[in-house]
Amino acid sequence: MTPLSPAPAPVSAVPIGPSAPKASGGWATQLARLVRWELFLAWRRRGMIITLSALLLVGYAIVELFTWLSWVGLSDYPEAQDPIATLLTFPASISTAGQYFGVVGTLFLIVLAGALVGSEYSFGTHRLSLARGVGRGQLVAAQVIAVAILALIASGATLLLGSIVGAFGSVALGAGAAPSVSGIGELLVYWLAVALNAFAYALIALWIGTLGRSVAGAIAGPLVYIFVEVVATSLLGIFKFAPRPDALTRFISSIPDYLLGANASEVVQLSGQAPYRLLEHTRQLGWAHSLIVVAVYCALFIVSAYLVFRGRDARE
Amino acid sequence: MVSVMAHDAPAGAPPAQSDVIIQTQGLTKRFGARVAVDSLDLEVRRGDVFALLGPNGSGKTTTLRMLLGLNWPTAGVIRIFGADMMNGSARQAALRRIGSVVEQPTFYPYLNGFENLRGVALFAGLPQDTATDARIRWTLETVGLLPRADDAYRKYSLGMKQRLGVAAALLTEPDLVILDEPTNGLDPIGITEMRGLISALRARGITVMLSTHQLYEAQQVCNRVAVLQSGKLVAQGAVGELLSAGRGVLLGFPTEDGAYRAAQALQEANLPWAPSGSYVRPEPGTWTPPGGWLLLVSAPHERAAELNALLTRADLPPAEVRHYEVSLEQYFLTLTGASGGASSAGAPAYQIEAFVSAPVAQGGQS
Repeated sequence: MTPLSPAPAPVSAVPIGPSAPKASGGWATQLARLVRWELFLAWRRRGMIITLSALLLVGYAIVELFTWLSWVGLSDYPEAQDPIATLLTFPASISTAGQYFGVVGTLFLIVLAGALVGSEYSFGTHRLSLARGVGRGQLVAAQVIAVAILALIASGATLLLGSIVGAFGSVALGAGAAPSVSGIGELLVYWLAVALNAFAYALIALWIGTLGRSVAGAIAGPLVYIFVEVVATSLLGIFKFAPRPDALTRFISSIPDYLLGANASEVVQLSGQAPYRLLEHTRQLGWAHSLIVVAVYCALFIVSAYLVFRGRDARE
Repeated sequence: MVSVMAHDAPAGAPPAQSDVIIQTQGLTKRFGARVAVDSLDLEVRRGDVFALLGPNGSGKTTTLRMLLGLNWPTAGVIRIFGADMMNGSARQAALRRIGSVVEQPTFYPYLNGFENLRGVALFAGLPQDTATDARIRWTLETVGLLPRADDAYRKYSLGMKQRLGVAAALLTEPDLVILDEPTNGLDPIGITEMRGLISALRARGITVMLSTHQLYEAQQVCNRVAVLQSGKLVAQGAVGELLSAGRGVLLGFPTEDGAYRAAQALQEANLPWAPSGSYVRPEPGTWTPPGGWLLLVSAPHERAAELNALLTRADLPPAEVRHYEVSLEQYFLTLTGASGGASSAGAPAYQIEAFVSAPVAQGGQS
């Protein structure tokens, strides 16, 4: 009799290959792996990283070049040269780098965070992780931590560049301050503040990327927010000059004190006060106020992104 | 025709709770006003190769997505390996024991095949070490992708993407494999290999749940099936049991009157082993008796001679007597009411027009 179907292969004949290692590690271990994976994904998008880094570097080089050219051009006016010479030497060169990063680096990070988060939806790759037991909270936490690390790396690299330029300028111009232990402490706090500023805006990219499930939305959202914030701060600031301020006028004029940008820049300014006085302190919001407001914004972006992600189906 | 028999508990005997790998109760999913899955009660047992069948939009993929925690049920219970899948930590532990490909495989397009599988291993909690790398290489070799392991995923063909999806499903040595349309995009060789792979998984005791449109494939490799239509379960059970009601004896008559009188004679004979019959229409290009009239009697094959003798004694001799066995495809088309003349290579050559009285399914849920 001819068998109608082949007999099932004996178990021993079925290739099994090398055994898969057993899953290991608790929640925190898995979170650390996911953070490493997110950073790996950022690293593997080399085209984007190289382009953004090159833009960041070229922009900074142009800023420094113009500063040097200004110094050279003002050689007949020593009193006008002095403030420029300060910018070219340590430690003020670091504040130049920090301020530059506050604008261009923030955009860099928004693009990177938007691409990391939004592409999970456009590629549908969030299904890969969720279907294998990664928790939604773990995924959001890993993205947040990865963005924070990227902010620290990018801002740290820019400030290091500023330090190198400043050291070179100090030697060339015979000016600038000597490094000190307390000064290094200030620089570290300044680094964290600069990174926090960029991180807070990158969280908007994460938030909108999660809500909108797209790279374009994740990148455009924070840019729109920054534009609206700048315009609102200018317009609402007019109310501070009202001749007879009443309660409503005072309330309206105080709104900018609770916007993200004002508080993030206040943190940056406060971090660069002593002993080097990297920046002028133009606002008077204080450490507690500004840190709390920035923290509340960050928490809102993270928690709402998580709640949206947790509550809905994993669709593209 | 290949008969696929249930290999587990005898028909009617409830399986031990520990043998139930997937269980859903009242599983429901609504998208706004549309009910995609409606009160689904499924049971997949250890070692099953279980097929979820249904026309497009019947809720197969939505069901698989809910099992994998990608879609949240609107109502109902899902238990996999006994774990309540609505409980976060229990769900995560259960998902680590599952290998899956749902819809089209999705991977990072700018990573190569090896890196993508590294990601899958990491998601499943496997350590990033040489043992994991060895396992990745083996799975790539198993699906024939090792020579292309260093190519970016975006450069893969549709079939290669499907193979990488299968490699990802097998990577963690899962206890349960869930495959959504696993033969989509595969060439005939790939389809044959996929069938062999599923058989190999079953031979190793790995439970497989798949959704498919390929009913012939399902009949080849699955021992149990569930049929969905418009989100509702219309049948579930062992393939052999579900199809047993469709077995019968096919009698050919040269005239309509002859077929009618033969049916009357059988009805009057009141045979307990032949409780019903129906007229069927031959498909074009298949065997057709002279005159073209067919009567399908739901009687055991071994009673064919008795039927022939009875009708001959009544002076109504059939022109031809044949055994008839319904295919899964015909069974499916009958259940879903989509008998639009579809046929496949393995399907018998007769199209059911109507059953007179007997239910199609016995032993399966309806």
